Amino acid sequence: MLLYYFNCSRIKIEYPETINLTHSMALSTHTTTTGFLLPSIHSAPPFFTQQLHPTSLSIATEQWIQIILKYAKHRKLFTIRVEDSESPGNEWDEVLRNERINRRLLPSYLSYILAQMVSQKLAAYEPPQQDRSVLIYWRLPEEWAETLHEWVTSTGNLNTIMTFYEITDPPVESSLSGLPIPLLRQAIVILSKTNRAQVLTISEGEGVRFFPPTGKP
Amino acid sequence: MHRLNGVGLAAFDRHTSTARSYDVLSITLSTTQLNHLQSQLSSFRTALTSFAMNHRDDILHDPMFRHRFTQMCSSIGVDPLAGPRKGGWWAELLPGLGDWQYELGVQVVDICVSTRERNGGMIELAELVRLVRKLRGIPEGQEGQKANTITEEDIIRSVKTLGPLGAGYQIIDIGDGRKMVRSVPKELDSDQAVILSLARQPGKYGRITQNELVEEKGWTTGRARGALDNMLLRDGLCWVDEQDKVHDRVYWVTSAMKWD
Repeated sequence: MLLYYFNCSRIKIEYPETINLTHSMALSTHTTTTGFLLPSIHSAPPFFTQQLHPTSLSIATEQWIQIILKYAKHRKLFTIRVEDSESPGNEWDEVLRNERINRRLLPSYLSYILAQMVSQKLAAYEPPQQDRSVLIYWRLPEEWAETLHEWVTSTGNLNTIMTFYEITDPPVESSLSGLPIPLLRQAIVILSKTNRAQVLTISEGEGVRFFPPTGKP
Repeated sequence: MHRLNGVGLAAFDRHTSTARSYDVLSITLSTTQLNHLQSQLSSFRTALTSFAMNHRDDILHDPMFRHRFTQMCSSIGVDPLAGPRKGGWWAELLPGLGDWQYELGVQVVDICVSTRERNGGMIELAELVRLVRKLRGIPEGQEGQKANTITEEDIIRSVKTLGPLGAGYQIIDIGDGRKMVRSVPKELDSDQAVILSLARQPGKYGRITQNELVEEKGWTTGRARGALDNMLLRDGLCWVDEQDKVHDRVYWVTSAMKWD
């Protein structure tokens, strides 16, 4: 009987995110100057310290990963470094610091969070062979590959040779503007596996030619 | 002896016939008693049926009435929650009460599980009642209205019905009349109960330091540190903050933190 209810009447609980003015210490959401909505956990002082209990640590880390991914997408940021938490004055200040409660994400914890992101394939160390800086996949390389192919098709650039620069810095801004070269390269590799792209050596260095999905040149 | 029972075969016959007479009498008596009991039971059943029928809405919707009703049931040894699973006639009488209680149990589980991340599996009973009411769409601030509201009694009963599931749901009294529902099967020692209670004091918002326990509760540093570290490291009931201006380490009891 009880199991029946578990299956049939599962109810989702929604917690409205409202700002309570009567309790200054109550944890509430906060909208940053760039218009990013920080969850209420971001106003909890212990959130900025690496937790010692494994369950607490994984809960907090998961929250941090979500915040980093969402903020990266919000501001189209591709890189985060351990140094970003060491001193203020960079594009991650709003997230890595909370001046209202006088807390900052400790560098050693950020380093741990980045390692978790890499292990979950939500980021990659860039450049490789170090662990202080990562390339953030707020879109997965596979998703970038599709975005790239759609953009090439819609701008009529199929079958022509393009430089990497023409893709990442086009005259008309696109969703690929500012895409880091390592991520572009990964997207091209993914497309070439289905015969939709081919890397060529051209006079200016490297170029790429895209093909329609049928795979014929 | 001789004269009463006689001798020889005649005595044996008489003995047998006496025994048979007693048997007959005993069967007659117990049949009468059984009939009597059955008629009593059936009139009780009829009375209870009509009572349940007449007051069904009250039982399902009025918390005070429901409380009295379940008290009455337990005093006469009837379990209103025996329910459909046991297929008893009770379930036929009061369709809905067992379901109602189970449903409430499911909502309690739902809330306990979905808030576990933020409170470590300990939730204050009053908060649980508030969330259940919210879940059921009962407007806040109308506790006075008797219709459809949920009381702490109802929640406690529901938590008890969850017992057979073995999930370890328990009601814990942390002193000064406040109760918490624990949804993780862990032992809570008395020191932890004191810490929980202190962390819930107005203005603390879950924040606790070793010094507070030493100063306000007269504990030794070792006892305070040990109890806090147990909660932190062993049970995951609090989070640690190492960026406080004054204290090296501040503990935050997640179930006492106030979230909007």
